[in-house]
Amino acid sequence: MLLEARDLTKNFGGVRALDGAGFAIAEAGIVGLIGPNGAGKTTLFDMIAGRQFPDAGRVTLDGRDVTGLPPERRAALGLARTFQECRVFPEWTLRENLLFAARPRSFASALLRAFTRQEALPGGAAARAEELLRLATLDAYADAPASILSFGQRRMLEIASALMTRPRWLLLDEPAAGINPGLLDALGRFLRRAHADQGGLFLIVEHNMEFIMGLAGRIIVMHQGAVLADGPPEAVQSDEAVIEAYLG
Amino acid sequence: MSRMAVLAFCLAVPALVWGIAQGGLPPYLLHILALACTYAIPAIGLNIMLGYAGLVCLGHAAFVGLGAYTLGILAVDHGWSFWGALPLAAVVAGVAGGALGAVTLRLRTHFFMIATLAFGLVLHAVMNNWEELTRGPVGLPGIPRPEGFTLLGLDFAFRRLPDFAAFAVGATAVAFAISALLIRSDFGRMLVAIRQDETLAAAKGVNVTAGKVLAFAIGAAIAGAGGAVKAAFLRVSAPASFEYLEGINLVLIVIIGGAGRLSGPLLGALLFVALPEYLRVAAEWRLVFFGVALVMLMRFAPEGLAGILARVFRRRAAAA
Repeated sequence: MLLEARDLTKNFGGVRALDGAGFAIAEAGIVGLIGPNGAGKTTLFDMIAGRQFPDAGRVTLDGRDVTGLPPERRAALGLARTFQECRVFPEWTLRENLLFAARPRSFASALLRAFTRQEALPGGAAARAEELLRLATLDAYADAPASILSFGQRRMLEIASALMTRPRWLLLDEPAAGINPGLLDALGRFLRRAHADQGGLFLIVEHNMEFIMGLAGRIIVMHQGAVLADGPPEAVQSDEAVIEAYLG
Repeated sequence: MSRMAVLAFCLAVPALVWGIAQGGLPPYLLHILALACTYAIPAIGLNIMLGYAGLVCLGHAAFVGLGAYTLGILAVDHGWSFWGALPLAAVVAGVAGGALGAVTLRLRTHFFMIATLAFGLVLHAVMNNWEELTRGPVGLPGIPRPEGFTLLGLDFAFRRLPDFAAFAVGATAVAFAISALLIRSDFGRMLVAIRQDETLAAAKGVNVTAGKVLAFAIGAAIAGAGGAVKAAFLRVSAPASFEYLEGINLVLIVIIGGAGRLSGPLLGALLFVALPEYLRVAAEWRLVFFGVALVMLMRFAPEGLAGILARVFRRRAAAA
């Protein structure tokens, strides 16, 4: 199983944010995670990413239990994520942002290399960075600090940076939020192309129905802390319970 | 760092050290130079924590004190040589820094700063009151200057003031080189990533806690080595040199010089020691002056003196 969340439960004070939510994803693909506000999408998402930990239940990646693993250990396994609030390193140039994602992470070896002055950038990383900058149509700003980008451009950079390591699991938290509607098509094309190129699982939390229904091959719907429906976009859209949850 | 810059550094530092040791400079100037170095070395350590990892440590003077007392106790009470005690001074301060980091880093922002301030106050109280070990408020007198030695047919001596000032400049250059190598490496990049955005750094696979503890240990170790140089210069290790105000002074030096810039601590320390002397302002006015300068800098040039200089050079280069 590529990714499995089983019986996840989380309470915040008296509020039950997750109530036995779970799903299993066996195959690579683009999967959408939707639901009304307060359905528990972000909490579930954070548990897969390691930013929050469940009161009960398990998360497994490739069958390996990662429920209590901190985010940096999950990154080492090949998991990458983006943030709803969109995070990039503002002081660094776009190229530095991308290359940083490809650099080794061990402090011990970094300290040793500091005094031998060996370059640790993996071969092909520089070419990969240029390719991603071009695909994200950011190549004109490659040497500008990320802080000068517009929100939409910053979002593209964030996704490009997550793609640098060709992650096996890519978690995208509302990539379409705050994006100029005219750029949504470009964003969708970028994600489809990236997935065709590298494979793996793209799990996307999204509020923009049109965007996610056109992008994902499978949609998981959450409601009141549990999974309400799970299937191809057409089936989910005509599901009585889903319509009820969104309208009621 | 370009190859040229490394080459220039490797040629300029020995030339500078040799020039100072040859004498000719008035003793007063040598004294100020050596004193500035005893501030510059701990400030280089603090810059790694504050400027690069983004950790504001208000108790940095305690690490300087740990290094100074390690040298003092080993040299005066146990007959160690300066050269044997110097690495141990760095290790003692480094271990203390790592330990302080490990217990305080779960605290955030001002809570963290208060914890580091408290650490400095506690250690100062220990220096003042553990008379059997530290001799209390009067301090540990009679700390020897580094012993001379012969290397590659050259005689090195440190007893005379010009020789010691040259040694202090050389030691500062070594601390600077170590911090430059660290900061320009993947280690430095990870620290800067942590300062910019901890959450993002962790998502990119950086072990944030390990990075902060290491930054603390390394910054404290450099401060400890600086403390040993300071004690060898003053010939005494006394609590008054390591009170909490000295920790605040080090923060001022780093910020005014330019936090997160390699040359920042050097410029800050030179200004901090030399300018009040030049202006002949009494020592009590130094903090007032630096307080005003700090406010002005934060308002008009938050990147510090090093940032201002970098901007001027860039404009010159663009105009040429």
